[in-house]
Amino acid sequence: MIALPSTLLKILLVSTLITALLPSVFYRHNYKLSYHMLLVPIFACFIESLCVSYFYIYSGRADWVMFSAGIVDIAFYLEPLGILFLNLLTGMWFIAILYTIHHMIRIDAKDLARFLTFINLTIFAAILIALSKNLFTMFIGYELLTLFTIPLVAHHNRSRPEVMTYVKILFSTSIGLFLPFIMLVHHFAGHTGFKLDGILPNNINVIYVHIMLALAFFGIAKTAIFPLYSWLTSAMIAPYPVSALLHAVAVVKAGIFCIIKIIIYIFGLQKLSILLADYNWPLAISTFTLIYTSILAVRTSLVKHVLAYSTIANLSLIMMSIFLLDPKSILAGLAHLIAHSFTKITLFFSAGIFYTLSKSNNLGDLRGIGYKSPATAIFFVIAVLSLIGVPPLAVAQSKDLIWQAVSDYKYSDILKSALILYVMAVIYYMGKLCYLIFAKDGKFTESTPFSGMKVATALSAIGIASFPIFERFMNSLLWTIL
Amino acid sequence: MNIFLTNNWLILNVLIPLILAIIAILSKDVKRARSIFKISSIISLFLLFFMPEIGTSYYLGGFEAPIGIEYKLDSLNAIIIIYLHIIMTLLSISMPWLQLMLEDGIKESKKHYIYGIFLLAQTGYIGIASTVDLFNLFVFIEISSLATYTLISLGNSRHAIVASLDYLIVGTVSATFILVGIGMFYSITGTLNMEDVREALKEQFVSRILISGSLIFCVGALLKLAIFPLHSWIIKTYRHTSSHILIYTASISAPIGFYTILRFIHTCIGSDIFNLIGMNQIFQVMSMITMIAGAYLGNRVSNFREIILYSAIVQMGYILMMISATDNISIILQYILADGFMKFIFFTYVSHQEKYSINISFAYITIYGILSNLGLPISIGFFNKINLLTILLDNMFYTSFIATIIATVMSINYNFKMINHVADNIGEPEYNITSSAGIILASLFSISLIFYGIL
Repeated sequence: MIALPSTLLKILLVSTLITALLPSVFYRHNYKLSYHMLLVPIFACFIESLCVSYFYIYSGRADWVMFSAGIVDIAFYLEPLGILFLNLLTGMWFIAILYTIHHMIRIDAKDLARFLTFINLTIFAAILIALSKNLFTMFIGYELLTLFTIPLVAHHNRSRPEVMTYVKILFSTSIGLFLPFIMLVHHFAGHTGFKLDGILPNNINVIYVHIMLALAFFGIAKTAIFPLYSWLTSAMIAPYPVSALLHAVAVVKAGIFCIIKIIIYIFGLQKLSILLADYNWPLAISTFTLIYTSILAVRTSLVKHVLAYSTIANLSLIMMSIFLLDPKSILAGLAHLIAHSFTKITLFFSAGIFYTLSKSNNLGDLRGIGYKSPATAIFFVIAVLSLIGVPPLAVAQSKDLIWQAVSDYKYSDILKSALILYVMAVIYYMGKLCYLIFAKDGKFTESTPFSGMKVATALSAIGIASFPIFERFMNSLLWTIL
Repeated sequence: MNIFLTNNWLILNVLIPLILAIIAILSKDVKRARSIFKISSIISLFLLFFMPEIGTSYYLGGFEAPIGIEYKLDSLNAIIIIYLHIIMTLLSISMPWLQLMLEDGIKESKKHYIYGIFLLAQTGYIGIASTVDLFNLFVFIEISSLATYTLISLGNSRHAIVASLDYLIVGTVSATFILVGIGMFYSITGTLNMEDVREALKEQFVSRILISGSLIFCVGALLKLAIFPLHSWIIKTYRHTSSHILIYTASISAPIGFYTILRFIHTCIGSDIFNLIGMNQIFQVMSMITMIAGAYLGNRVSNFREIILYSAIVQMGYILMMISATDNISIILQYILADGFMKFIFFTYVSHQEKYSINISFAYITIYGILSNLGLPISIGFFNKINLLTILLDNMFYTSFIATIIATVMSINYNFKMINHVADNIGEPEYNITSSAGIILASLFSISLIFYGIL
């Protein structure tokens, strides 16, 4: 019975890779049907990941050392955080691919097979991060994630300067800071395997621990923390499905998961909270990012940039919650992560449907579009309400958890006022979007046809409404480590 | 037969290309010369099955070491000799398209010389790898250099002749340095066999002649490799050399150059004396300057070929850093050979895109090579970089560690310029499958080097 999950783990990894590479088999055959066939193995992957979590909960651990070269072990194992991320990814994967196929065909994009292959490979890389057993495997997944997204970001136009910004920020931080962090951990601890309560020995100088924390904190630039957030807005030159799936869910959430895994399994939650008791600089930077990007979101005039800055603000909210370094606050952060994933993917999906009609990214060109695609507009409004925090929608519940966690902290007044400022900004910029969508002087004549895009948006909107299920699933998984 | 081949394996490796080179030159027919070239690689691959055990010696003419010349197979040169054979085989696999470019612009009556010269260069390089005699080493360096001068002058442009002359001058100067260094060692030890030199040095104090001899030898070798302050000739020369010639010379010369230094350090003077006289610190400072200056200069140029040349200089910096920091030969060799395979891939790409647009698998392999050059997962370059960083941290070389990281971060920019260049050249393929077979095999061989590093 014990051996079963590790076989499942192998099957899961191999089948995701094969599924990821399937679209390149359909190369040059532009049949809609053949693309839809891709949904079957993806759904199978989702079922597999559910099976893996079921077996994990009832029968225990699984691990697989795939390959070992020198000090680099490529090894995978099952642990609660990884399973949570795995299920989030595979579930979203199905919805997103359904959306992507229809969206890309509708805007007449070229090289659809290559595009789908790279989206799938990106998900595969994120799964590598979720199941990684040590820092090296995590680093490999992290770098592959960046690599596979580059062709997606550059899909419409390769020579845009934003592509180079994206590449430079993500790679220079990961090579310049994250890799030295891993090497230092290996140097001090002798290995990089994940272990509950941390692997760093106790006799390291406090300064070194602070330096290593800074290397990890800024090295994982996928969390879009203050000086290093501009890659996310640069990435918005990508087609809508990429912005939706990757830059609202897979890539940025992978960054957050890396941070949480490093806090819990490398530094140790207890040790870190003692270390940061007096000077909690990550918390300060996160709070600053939250306020700063909320202001930026108010000032911008592009739809995608509003959503991107809102993503950055939410990520820093999650980071803020995590760096309160209390089991309750980390749970609150994870809950917000899941709630935000569903909310933001719905927002991007409906904005993408609007884009197929308006062919423009400017806020002003959306005037009155809601009357021509009412169903999409309703999903959009649901997501906006969720993002603002109207109960009983998803973000309302996770924000409540964060509020409770913040209340226990000694400087809770500052954090609470930052939160209130953030909510006010959200009400302003999201309210502006809703107002524009339902403005009376729209010039649109045609309406959006029924397609898989709307089905996918509806599925993600259902996700927003059914958040308590995910929360219960999360709590049942995470009680062992938090 | 088997025993004969195994006993004489070391000398046969050198003799077969030499004899075939003479036959190819005398054949006076380009088709015959081409087939002789292919036969040579087939024979050398066939010979690999009879490779003797590590540690086998061969004495030329049956004369024992102090008087005669000794060839030796040890853990250092075994993989180098195999590598040389592999590169030659990859070249003959690429011949169907390569021969069109190689013979372009050369008189019909002289075309067969090219293949003879290739084999002659191969003779020299295998000789360098096989011998443990200092003077014999110099002779083979000269043989290979003479052949390489000719190869470089074969380029299509008029500048190729000038480039060849530049290379000739630098090659002569560096060979002179090496010869002077050898002479100094002979004056204090009285022997030319490297292992005897090391034995003799153990019984002596560290003298000034030893220090200056090692310095002069290393300056000669480093000049030939083009480490930073001595790098300008490689840019001048390789800018005008035809890229199909560079496929061979670039992928062979750097590994052989580093092999010479490694052989000198580990067999001739011993790594403890090398560290004692402070050479490792000199190497370390030089390598830091080389990698950072190379990365800086690489960002300033936009021509694909010049970017490769500067990136080659950066890689040399890493390798030199590794040589100065560790005694673990297999890790260093893994890095050197992986770098050699990457050069093979890059210059195959360069010579291809001058005439054709490239197909998608060709492009992906080239991009794999570029990622390996940068050290991103999950290429062989990533494992090499991790090895290098581990060595530096374990030996507490924190400055070198930071310099390596800075150089890598600086090289992101030009590596992605290269990837952009590859992506721009993707198009409908205009040639048959054999053209990409060479680089596919090269990338597979480079990946399999991971297993060599583990051993």
